Amino acid sequence: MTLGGWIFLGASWLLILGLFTYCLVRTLREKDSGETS
Amino acid sequence: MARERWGSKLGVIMAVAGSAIGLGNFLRFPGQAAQNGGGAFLIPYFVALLLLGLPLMWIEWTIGRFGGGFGHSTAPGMFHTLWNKNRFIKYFGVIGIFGPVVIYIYYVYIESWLLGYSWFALTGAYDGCQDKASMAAFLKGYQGIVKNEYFSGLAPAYLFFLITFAANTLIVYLGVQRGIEAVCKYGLPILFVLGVVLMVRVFAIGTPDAAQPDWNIVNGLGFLWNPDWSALGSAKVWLAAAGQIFFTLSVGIGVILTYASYLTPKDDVALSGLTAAATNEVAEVILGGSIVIPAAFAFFGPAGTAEFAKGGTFDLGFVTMPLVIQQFPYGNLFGFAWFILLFIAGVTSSISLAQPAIAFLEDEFGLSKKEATLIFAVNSFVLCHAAILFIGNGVLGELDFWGGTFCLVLFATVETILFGWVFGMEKAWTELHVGSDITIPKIYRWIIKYVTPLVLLTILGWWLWQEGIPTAMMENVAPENARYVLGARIMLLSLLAELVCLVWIVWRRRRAPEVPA
Repeated sequence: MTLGGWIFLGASWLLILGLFTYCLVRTLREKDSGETS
Repeated sequence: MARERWGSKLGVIMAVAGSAIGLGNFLRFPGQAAQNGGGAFLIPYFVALLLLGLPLMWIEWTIGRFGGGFGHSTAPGMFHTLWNKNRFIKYFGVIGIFGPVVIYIYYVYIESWLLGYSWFALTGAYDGCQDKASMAAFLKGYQGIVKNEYFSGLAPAYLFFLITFAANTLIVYLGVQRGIEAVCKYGLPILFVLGVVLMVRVFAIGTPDAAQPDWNIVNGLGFLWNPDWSALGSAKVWLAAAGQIFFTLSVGIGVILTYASYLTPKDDVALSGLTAAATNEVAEVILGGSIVIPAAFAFFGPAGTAEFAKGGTFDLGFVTMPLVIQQFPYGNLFGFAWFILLFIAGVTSSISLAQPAIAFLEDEFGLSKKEATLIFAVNSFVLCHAAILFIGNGVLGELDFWGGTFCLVLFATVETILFGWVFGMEKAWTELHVGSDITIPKIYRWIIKYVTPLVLLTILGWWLWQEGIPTAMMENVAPENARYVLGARIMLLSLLAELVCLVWIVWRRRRAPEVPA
């Protein structure tokens, strides 16, 4: 695998895992996360 | 009759993500990336996610929750509430029921193959197939296209279809909370665990053949991820990326509208839509990009993998992967894990396809869940036989063309224009942020109003020119299949006409102006 391949793989994974973690943490932190209002 | 509701916020997110995560995440995405520039494909892919995928997610979640406030779970009623001065828009909304039903007709059958192959993996039924030709013959025998040493008829496939169909019917009968939400809440974590297990196993392959030191897992990842910069100059690559984002997120079908209609008017849609999209991307880019192509490369090298990637979704799933997994120690167990993973992905998608039609009968005709489910089950069961019996005659491709491609792009284009231009961006933006847990960047006002419709119109026009018109004119249909394809079209037209009539009957009965429920 070329350096470019590693960069694309790493950047894509970081971006997606970062977005997913942010969304999940925000969702779980919201007060009404247990039940819909 | 009290309106059904989701049990939890996480439940609705899982249900929407489950609807989006399907066979395409694990089979279509890696094939598309490998053929369209490798790592460089991810540039147009993420651009399309930002300009097309996320706006459509937010549009559908918002329209769905808004329409649910008026007691509507499906597009005809929702479109009517958005543009109540127009007498015809509700008839256009029929596509939001028609499309899911058409996809359901063939999707449930394909899903049943996955259950069948899970069983075959455990029992070692395809262990004797050691090359591509024999594994492809096994699949054709199972589908009933040919009689061979593996299968003498359609009976095994039909048995697994009956089990799969019954399971889907039971889940939707149990309702939004006890059926759909419960299945997705347990199914999705299992799917992710299986995906990670398979990914780790693939990464551990190393160099399986010492005589071919270049055929290893790192170069397999390189086959998918090494960027080919020249691909960025090709319009085809950009449109392929936009198409992949479009199909992977389950937008343009009508199912997100229905799922979002079970939210309360103050529930968040902005963060929930984003979370569902992010969950789908984890399954697609991280898991989907790390299993099939790298594994195929390690065992079959660059030429073999390129051939597999061009072979399409079915070849990758039912021919390549069983061949690859057979090479692993405990191959039967890993084969089972692979097909059960795809089966779970299939079930969480197919139940979402069934829900709009059932919800339409419940909401607009006041039928009970039992009555609505029974009517849907009987009708879809009969229609499924078109896909089962005439799969070798081009019927499956025809259903996929109208239900899974044409209706999606058309529906998404119209709902985007309806949302940003007819309902109005001011009202739309306010509605999107009611109860919102995040603030969407203001640039999305401009993107939703101008960029997303423009991108969709471009895709629609290009696709009609390249594929739509030739397919509609039956240019690529073999002469011996023409009558089957025509028969499928008559069936689809009859279904569409029936749904239009039902909408006409509903609105004829209802004369009073609508107020929020």
